[in-house]
Amino acid sequence: MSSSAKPVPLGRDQISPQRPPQNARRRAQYLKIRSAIPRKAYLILSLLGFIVPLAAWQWLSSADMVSSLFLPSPHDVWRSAIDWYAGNLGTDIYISTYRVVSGFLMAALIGVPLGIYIGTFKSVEAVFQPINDFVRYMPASAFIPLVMLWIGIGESSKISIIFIGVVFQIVVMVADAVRNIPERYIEAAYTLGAKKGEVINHVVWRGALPDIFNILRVNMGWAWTYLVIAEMVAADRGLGFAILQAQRFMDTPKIFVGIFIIGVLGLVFDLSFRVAHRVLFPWSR
Amino acid sequence: MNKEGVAIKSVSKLYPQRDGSRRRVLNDIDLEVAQGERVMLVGASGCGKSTLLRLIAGLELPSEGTIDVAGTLVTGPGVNRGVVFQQSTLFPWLTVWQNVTFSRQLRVNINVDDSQVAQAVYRSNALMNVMGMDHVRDAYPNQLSGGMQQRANIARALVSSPAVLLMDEPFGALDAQTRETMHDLVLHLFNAEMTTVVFVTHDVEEAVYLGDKVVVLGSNPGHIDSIYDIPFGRERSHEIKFIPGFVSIRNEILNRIRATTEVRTNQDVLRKMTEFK
Repeated sequence: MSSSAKPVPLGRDQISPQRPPQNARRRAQYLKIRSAIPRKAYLILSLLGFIVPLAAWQWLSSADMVSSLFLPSPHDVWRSAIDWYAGNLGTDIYISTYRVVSGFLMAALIGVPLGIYIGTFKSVEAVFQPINDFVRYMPASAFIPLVMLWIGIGESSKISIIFIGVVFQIVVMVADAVRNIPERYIEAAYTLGAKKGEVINHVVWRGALPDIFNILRVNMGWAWTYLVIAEMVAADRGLGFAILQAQRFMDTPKIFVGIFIIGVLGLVFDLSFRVAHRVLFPWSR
Repeated sequence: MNKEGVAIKSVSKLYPQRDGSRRRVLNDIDLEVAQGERVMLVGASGCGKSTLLRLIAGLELPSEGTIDVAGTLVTGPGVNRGVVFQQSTLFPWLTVWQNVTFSRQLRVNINVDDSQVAQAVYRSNALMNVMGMDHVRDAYPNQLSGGMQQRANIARALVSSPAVLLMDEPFGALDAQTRETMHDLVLHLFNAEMTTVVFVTHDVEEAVYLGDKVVVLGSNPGHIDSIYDIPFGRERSHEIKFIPGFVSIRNEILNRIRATTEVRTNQDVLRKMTEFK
């Protein structure tokens, strides 16, 4: 065997003499479609996403261009947060979380099974889908007077508003997730001896579960956005109530704090859903 | 009538069209598959060979005629017919082992006694071992190569010892090397198990190599055009692909398929098309 038959490894510059310098290539990677970027860079960029608006805010409020009544400084907001914390922030967070979670859970308890049956059986779809789509576009806030009339002004009225806000979305999204399960899995289950109920349990439900989980995560976020209007209904506690109250007394810093806290709580719930998803469904990307 | 194997009697299949008429995709199919026999269905695409397989599987029902498997009329899908499709149907949410043993958790198997369970576990393990899948037992399907996925699909279809194994272009999506490996693997397995097989493929060489009988289906509507008996023993290796007997029967079948497909190029159109360049 002659040595000339051996493949000769190409030197770096032999591949392409005109290749751009390393830094330029590395930079190009950041705006390449779907290209991965270093983890550290990702972290820095997402921190910047918070820091830049914060800095702009600080600059705007300290430059005295906007009245502090409209735009309080970060410092004012921080002090307001401390005051609220010393007061009843804990109970406000507790009661609001309780309302959001209850409304959300009830919506999930009804919406998920209904969505599964709509996505599985055409007859169920025919009965529920058109009316669901009809009601889905009605604004939840428009139901407030009705809810007060029917349910009164107790705790259940706030929970109902959140329930109304998300249940119809959950139904429609779960039905779609179920329809997305490839027919071939259902056929495979039948050929392995599964009966109709078993196909629903072992294939439809199991297969749609990760998607359903994601749908619930998204709807949990929406449930938080309905909190403020839910607490318009004769509430005397809660984050949304506090924001509305602060508006009445022109307490802009407190409005800021309330909005931030709702954002943080939403983020915490979202992250928990994501982590749980990764743990529960290792098989799904 | 044979009490075992598959008996297809005057089967036709019609599909409703959008304009209200019905299109005949299979016409008057008569076919008997003896127990332990390996029948390969070949034909031009659109000849209805996959439809015929789906009818045997019970995933669809014939418009006319009857299909019996092991002496029982087919009225829907069931455990006595294992099916392997071209695209893997392993459940992505179950590990390979859970997929292979999927049917154990179903009601059809709820009344089995301990010795039957032990037997089923032994058979599942043995199949995994024979298919060379011991090391991927706990992997999820999306972690496997296409070839490995098909092995798992075959193992899962065979776990309940079905009366017939139905395969719809099972190796169509695999690369050439993997396909050859799979051929030897299934030949081995089928010989040992005396599996009755109905196998749809567009690869005539594959059909001649694996089959006892090759059935050529003609199109429009699908019908049985001709049946070839393959005169080789059951112990086969890749060398036989080069012996004259193999080559000639392969070519004969290929020509027969070509004769059933009506593709005639319009020479005028072709000439004009090239003139524009």
